[in-house]
Amino acid sequence: MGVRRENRVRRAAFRQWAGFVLASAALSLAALSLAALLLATLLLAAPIAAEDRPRLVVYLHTTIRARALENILQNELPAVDVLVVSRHRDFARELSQRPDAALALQPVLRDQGWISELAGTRSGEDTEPYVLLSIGSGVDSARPAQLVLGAVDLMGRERTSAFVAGLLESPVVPSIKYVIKTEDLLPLLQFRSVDAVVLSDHEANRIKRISKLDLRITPLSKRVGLAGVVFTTPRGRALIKPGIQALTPDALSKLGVEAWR
Amino acid sequence: MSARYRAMLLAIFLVTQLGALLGCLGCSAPRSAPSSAPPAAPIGADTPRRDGVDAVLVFLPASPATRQAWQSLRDELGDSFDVVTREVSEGSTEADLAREIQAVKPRCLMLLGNSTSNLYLKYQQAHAGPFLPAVVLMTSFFEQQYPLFRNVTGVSYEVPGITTFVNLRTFVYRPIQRVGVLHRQLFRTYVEEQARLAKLEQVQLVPIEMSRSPGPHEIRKGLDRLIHDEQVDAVWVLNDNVLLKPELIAKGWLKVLHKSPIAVVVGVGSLVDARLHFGSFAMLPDHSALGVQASNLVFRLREEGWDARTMPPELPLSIQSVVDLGWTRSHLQFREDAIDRIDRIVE
Repeated sequence: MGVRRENRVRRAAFRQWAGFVLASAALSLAALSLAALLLATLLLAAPIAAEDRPRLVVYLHTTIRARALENILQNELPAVDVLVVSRHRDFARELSQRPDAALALQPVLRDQGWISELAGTRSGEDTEPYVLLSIGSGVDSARPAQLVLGAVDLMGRERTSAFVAGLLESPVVPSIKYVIKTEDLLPLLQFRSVDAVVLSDHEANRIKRISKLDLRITPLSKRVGLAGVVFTTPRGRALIKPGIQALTPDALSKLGVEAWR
Repeated sequence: MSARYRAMLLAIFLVTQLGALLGCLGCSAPRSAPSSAPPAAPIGADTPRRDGVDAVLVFLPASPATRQAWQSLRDELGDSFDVVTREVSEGSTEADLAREIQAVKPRCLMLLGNSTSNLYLKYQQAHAGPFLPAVVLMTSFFEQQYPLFRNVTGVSYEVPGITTFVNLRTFVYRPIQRVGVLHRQLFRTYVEEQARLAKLEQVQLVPIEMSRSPGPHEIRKGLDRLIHDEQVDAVWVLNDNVLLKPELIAKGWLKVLHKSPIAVVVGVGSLVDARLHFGSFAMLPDHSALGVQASNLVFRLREEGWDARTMPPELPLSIQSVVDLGWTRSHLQFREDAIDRIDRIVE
């Protein structure tokens, strides 16, 4: 990520420098300037084209590594500059660079003040149930003040706390231990560091398949939006949206959805 | 000594010693790296102190690994605390620590790396206390050192066996029910604790105790017993320098493992090498996640009145994985769908 940003800065600096040189040449040597300009156009065409590609920032906690997801999406969206981040802090940083589109869980997009223009669906629903996963016995979600919970840091500590309290329908914010990957919720249970972890029913069942612990699911009544997409510029809407709508079922499944609405 | 053997020893020396020097990051050509690593910032590039904001004073030696953890700490704590960073070098003394603590007046200390925690231990031994709460991370076998400290908590550095084995299960088709480990007497308590944890996930750890300074023959004999008599499904290699001397790897471990391929999980990235085929997988601590976990401890310390005495060390939650892809594909019933879940692929 850092290298790519650095490359962009280098490309921009190079274009500025090249532009200055070309302008000088054009003024002093009219004949040569035309050739130089033609040459420069040819030389600069590739980086400018790359820079001009619309940018899509993706922030999702999936079962695969960010680099793998980025490769899959980049292959299916060759005209788009795709960047996948896995930490909220990195997502916030990237948003400050004004991408053309952002793909994240719907509550994360809402937290940024956006409403999804495309909402991912699974089995026809654009939301999914969330649960508490614990060892041995279910937990009493009606008494959150007495629970220590594990959760993925979705939106920064404070707002994720509020999000979890909302899921528990509690005015009291429970004590939460944060992780940065969904898979790290299982060790929290194995080490007895928490009473339960909060996650989607889908993920809870995946962890149950991996682990041989006696894991119990306690359903929560609130549902949470699946991945959604916002387009923040007209060119994002024009150039990225059709590509996202045409993603293959395999790519969609990596995003945790089956279709777009 | 044959030329082939000398070349192998040299290769092993390079991957073990250089790997250690490079922060166990692995020197075989990696195919992919974690995507979302934030851009590197120079260690110590602290933001200016704010009035009325508590400080967390971080001591660390400069290395790529400590930088990753530090950056994550800074991201997590930066909104609530002023993160003040001081680099520790070989020449640092406990008096330097004392001076910085006096000057910064932090609420809490963060101590990264073996050299820093050793220095802080000397500082505690030289001073009467009371001591500020401190969080230790990236210190080898911290749990063994922990009782010597006062008002300290932290995160262990070694990836627990249970985490290693559960991940291994998702990487290969072969069921992982019995895992063998060679260890010296010094590590017996550690291995027993790991066996207790592994049992939770229905993995039986099969330990064989070595002598204090085993030779290649003893390693070969132990491995033979694990693979052929005990019929283990995988071998777990502890980060014990004595068992990982280049000569022992060449004349001990590899002699058996090349004849009887089995899943070998190591805790050092450089031991997964496409030339040696020693570790088929490495499970390493995720340094960014360690920073988040240590930050959790700082927030909890704040909630609990800055008293670390009731907060025992935690085990690390998150790992980064490395695979020797060619070898595992050929010999270990590798699950192709696992590739996208592995952080680094060595070919």
